[in-house]
Amino acid sequence: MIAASFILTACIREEAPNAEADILSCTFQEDVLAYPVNVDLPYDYTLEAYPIYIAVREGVDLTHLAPRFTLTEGASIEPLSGSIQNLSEPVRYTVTSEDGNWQRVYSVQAYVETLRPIPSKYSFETVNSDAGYDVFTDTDSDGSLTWASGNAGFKMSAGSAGRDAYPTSQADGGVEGKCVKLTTCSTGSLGSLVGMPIAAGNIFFGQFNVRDAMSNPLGATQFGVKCNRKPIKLCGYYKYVPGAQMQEGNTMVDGTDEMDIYAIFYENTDQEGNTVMLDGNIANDDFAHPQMVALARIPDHGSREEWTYFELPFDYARYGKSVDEMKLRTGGYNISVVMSSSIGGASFRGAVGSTLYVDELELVFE
Amino acid sequence: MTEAMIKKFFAFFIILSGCSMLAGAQPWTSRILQKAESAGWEFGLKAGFNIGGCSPLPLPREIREIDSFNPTLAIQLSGEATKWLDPGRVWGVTFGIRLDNKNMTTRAMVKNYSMEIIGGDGNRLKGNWSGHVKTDVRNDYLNFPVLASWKPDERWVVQFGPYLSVLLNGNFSGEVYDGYLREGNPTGDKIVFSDGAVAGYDFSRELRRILWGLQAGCEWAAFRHLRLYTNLTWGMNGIFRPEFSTITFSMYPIYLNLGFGYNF
Repeated sequence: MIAASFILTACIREEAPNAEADILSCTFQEDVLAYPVNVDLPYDYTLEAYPIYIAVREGVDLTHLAPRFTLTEGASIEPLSGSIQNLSEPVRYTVTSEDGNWQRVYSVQAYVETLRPIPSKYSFETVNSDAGYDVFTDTDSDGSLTWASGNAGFKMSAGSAGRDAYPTSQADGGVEGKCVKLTTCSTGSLGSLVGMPIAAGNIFFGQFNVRDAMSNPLGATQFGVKCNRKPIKLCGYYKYVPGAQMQEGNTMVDGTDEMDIYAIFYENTDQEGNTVMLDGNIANDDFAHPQMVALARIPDHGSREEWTYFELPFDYARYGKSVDEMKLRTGGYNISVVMSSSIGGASFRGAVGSTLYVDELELVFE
Repeated sequence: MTEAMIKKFFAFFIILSGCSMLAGAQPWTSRILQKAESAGWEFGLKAGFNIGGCSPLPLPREIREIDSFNPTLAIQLSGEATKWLDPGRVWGVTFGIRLDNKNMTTRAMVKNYSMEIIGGDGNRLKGNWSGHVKTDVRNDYLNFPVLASWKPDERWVVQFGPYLSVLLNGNFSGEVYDGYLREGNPTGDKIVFSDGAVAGYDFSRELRRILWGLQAGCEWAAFRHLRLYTNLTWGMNGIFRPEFSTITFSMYPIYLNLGFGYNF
């Protein structure tokens, strides 16, 4: 048997050149960055490229920047890494794999980091469905925000589903116009193969890292965007119908499903100045975290057949912290609104068919 | 193969060897055998082990390391009839019927290995996998060899020829772990499988039902009735149906058999 292994090992042929063509990092020789560059943003169907946004400090000239990239081993990039570019407008970089067969196009743009406020009102009227599922963007006179959801994860298990069969989608019959519909869905045979038989509908401020969806589903939902105003309350309307049969993983259990709506407000750096991004673990940890500042959470997670108004005050008292004005203005706080059709969805506990509708959401700031 | 099947095979063998013992005692069976023998026929039974694997040839470049290989306990049972064509009994034709298990369990490290997982409900996940793959093969075949037999001296027989295989029972399954999938192609979304995340696959339904191959071997008469034998069976078809494209290379069953034979 060992001899056979040796024979087989002896037959192993020379390694093929790499087929991947990734930008692994983006740095600058000079100290121009406001914070580290994220090179792992999801594909942008409008730009037809993987976006890279470079946030630079005030006073940096956007028209003369020389970003330096590290790439998959053996890959090449055009224009060259380290070449001077005008990044005040998007510049398209093409990375070609070592074997020459594959390319990835990135759209690189720099901007001066100034805080742009997030919207106050969210009515779920605008979606982009190029990815095969709905991606919500809300814009009002204050600003613009694109919601994140776990749809990209669901796409892996059910790529052929129509956009309205995804856990997070737009639906008719809102309080006004359309609304967001969150449904706990079965992930079918492929989801079962990886031990993730259901996907709760979810939507939140932040980012969904599909890379971590299999190994660390709670960490894949990154909650938070910068917020330069102090939130007082979260209001809106919802309807909720729990699904018929509760399950925990692949096991059917007794009980009735529950939904969740909450908002967290937290400091985005720790004592040592490291960036802090809260994720799906926060609800499991009962919202206890050294950087938490305030929590607004719906008290009743049960069913509502008709549109029901809710008004959730941010509870600052629980964490006993005051909001620092200076820190607020310089972007030291993050906020995230998080909604899910199954409260235990991140741990694959819920009932297929549980449906939460939400509309006319409003964040009230001080 | 299941334990029940192994038991069945052994039962089959014991009954046949029982028959052979009786052959000496029962005048009518021994008369038939004697008659057949004088017409140039010879009968035998064989039992042995199968050691080998289902392997692409040559190994594709996607395979970077074989972490482990286990041929498992795979057995082979056969009955053979040889018709000697010349009075000196040097050349003959052998017809056989052989049941065998072609098994293996391997763990390998692959890089940029094209794969597609097709769920029972038709959902598909296609992409390029870099990481570890475990493969379990448990196939039972009924084979019909037709061989040229050459007896250069009293103790040795050399055989060569084709065989036809019918898949009775097939399992080709496994899992991928500790690595990442690039969805669709090598530039697609990267999905990391670590911390115990695994995805299973099962291609049992994609196995080819009828295959053929070539075999070559020899046997040595240790005693008057007892033989030692070895032969190499080399599949000429890939083990999967030709329409199956998930695994981009063909895998050929190549097994070495070692065992004992009883000649009447």
